Amino acid sequence: MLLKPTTHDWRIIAHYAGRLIVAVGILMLVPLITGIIFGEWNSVLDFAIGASVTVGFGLVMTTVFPQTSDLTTMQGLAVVAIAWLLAMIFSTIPLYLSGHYLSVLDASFDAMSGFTTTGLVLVQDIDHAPNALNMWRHLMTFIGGQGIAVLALSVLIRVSGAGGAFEVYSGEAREERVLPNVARTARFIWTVTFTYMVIGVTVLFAVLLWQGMEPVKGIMHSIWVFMGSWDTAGHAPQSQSIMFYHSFPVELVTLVLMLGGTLSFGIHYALWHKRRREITRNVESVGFVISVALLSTGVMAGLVAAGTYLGLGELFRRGLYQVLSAHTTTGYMTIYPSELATQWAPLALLSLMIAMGIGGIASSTAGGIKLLRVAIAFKAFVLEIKRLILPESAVVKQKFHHFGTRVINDAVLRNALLIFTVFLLTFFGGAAMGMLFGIPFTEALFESTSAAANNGLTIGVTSADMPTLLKLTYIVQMWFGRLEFLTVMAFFALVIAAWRGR
Amino acid sequence: MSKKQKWWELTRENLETKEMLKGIGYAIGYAVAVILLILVVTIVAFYFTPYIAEASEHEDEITRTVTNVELYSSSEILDRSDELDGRTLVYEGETIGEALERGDNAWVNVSDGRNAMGLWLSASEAGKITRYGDYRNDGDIVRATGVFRRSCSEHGGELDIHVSSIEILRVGEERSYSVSPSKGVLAAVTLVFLGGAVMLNRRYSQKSSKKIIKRRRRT
Repeated sequence: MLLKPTTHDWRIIAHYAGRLIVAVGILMLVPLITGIIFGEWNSVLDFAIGASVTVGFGLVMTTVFPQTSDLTTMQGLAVVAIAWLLAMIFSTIPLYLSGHYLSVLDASFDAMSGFTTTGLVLVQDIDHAPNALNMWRHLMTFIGGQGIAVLALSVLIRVSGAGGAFEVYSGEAREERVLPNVARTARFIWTVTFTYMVIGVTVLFAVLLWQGMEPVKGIMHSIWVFMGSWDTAGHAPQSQSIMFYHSFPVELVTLVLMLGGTLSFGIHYALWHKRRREITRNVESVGFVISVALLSTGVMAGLVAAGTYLGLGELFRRGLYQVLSAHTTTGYMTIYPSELATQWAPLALLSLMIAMGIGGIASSTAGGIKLLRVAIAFKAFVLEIKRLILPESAVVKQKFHHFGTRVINDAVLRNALLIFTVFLLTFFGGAAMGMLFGIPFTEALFESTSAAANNGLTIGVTSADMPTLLKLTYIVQMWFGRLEFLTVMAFFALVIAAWRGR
Repeated sequence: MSKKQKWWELTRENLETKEMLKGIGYAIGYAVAVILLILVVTIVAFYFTPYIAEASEHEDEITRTVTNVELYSSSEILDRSDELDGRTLVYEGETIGEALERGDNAWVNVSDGRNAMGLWLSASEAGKITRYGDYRNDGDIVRATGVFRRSCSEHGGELDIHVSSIEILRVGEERSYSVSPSKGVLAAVTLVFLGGAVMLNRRYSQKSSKKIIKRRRRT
């Protein structure tokens, strides 16, 4: 029998979602302060309105629905799914009020793109945008990349002794607990991030000064580009993405930051504790190197065969950069979107799409199917081949290293294949929707993959002119992709249960 | 799960037990079915009202002759990059950001409203530009004449224009912003709402914490 969720279920979900929303609202103070510093008074009002409504709403939710018990798994997953939707809705307020969006939907699209670290944008006239707006655009990617729940767990929610914290944490596509306590894990994530932030912003600032930028703009750009790179979001303060700087050193620094962001926090933990062998043994880091090598070869071969780029420097800065940007799901571009459509050969585009689809390492800031699942699927394939060629009586096992030696069993394989399959369905489902609006298959699949894998590379489909239904499709794809489906499905399951249950 | 359970019967217990994945599988099946239904309805709807692509109909895509070389918009340059590669052309737009000086030369980004393109020019030519577009300023509107490269070997394959001369068509000016009174009123109202929410929360939290303390004392 289908059990209808009780009022208690909804109350506890609303309570925790409210807490997460309060965290988002408080963070709106950062762009508000930025606006005050730069004297952007309209932006100050935009963010005062946004922060007041968001924090107020969150507080009302937590007050009206008090915490009476710990979260169950189902409730935890629903909290995360709802909180991400609410974060998008409330973040739309200052974005839309800025006057840089043609519609509320466009502002919502950018909010979801920001939180999910996708990087597809519909913002208008970004070259004349205030610093406060740019700060919020990038801060959304920063919060989203780290995880709204991670932020709340480390700051707002006191989890000592409270159950349910892991449910909220894992709802954001993070399965591994770096430390035994989830709150400490969340704080470790922030420690790593802030350490890299100090180093990354300093290096970027120095490089930007060297490359001819004035100091005030240099410091702001270095903070924003750090957020865009580390959180594999690909947001940039100028319309030309990373091309604005016309600088190989800037591209190199962003590449390092992207790679840092795509490493899981588990691997960062191992590296911090001088367990360097983990990176050479972990199935994901090894798989990432192999995948980048293979897909770079595909891209280079395609570009050389088509005569798009012939020199080594050109292939590195235009070809390899795009592969790494795609594979880490960052979405920074050193070429124009139309160049992908008109200059890139099908082989190069296919390789780029595969890189986008696979994405980064699990439990990192990156999106996509994730290398762990691809590696498990590949190992399972090898296992089946072994079973075929070995005697029937042979006991065959396939192991992989992921913070310890693990054996591929049915549960592991089922989990990996389930997500793998749903991602593929989403890629092609989004492409089908694009084709309905007359977009050619390749372009439609490219953009759909980019949205669902939270990538942000665009072939030119994403624009404020695109049909409303397609914008909605990409919003849903970004949301599903970032939370890796199970969280959103659990939320839908709860809704179905509320509808059909007794 | 009992044998008589139907396929949609996804219970909370299922999700809390080892069969969580199985239960979510049902939910995914259900969602896929709904999505397929929506797709079919949309296909039928759009079959009768076909979408007309407007991607290439940009009003600003005009080409005209200016002093023997042709003026191109950024969209045209990008769409016809193979054809225009190596040709001298004219490009107009607003200077944005700032000049990024590299020795005797500089990069200047110029936007025509559709795209911004990188212009590589001498520092002295760049020095003619008085203002660059950002939040506070409208940049100079410039007309640049130079050689277009689809993949410039000097600049790591960048799509750029090596400018020989630049002309200021309109000098940029400072933007003025007035604070919107309606936004001010809205901000005041929302701040009152926030204040109310904070008071409600503090009062309730005190009450609930007192209740918890009382309960603990009793037990």
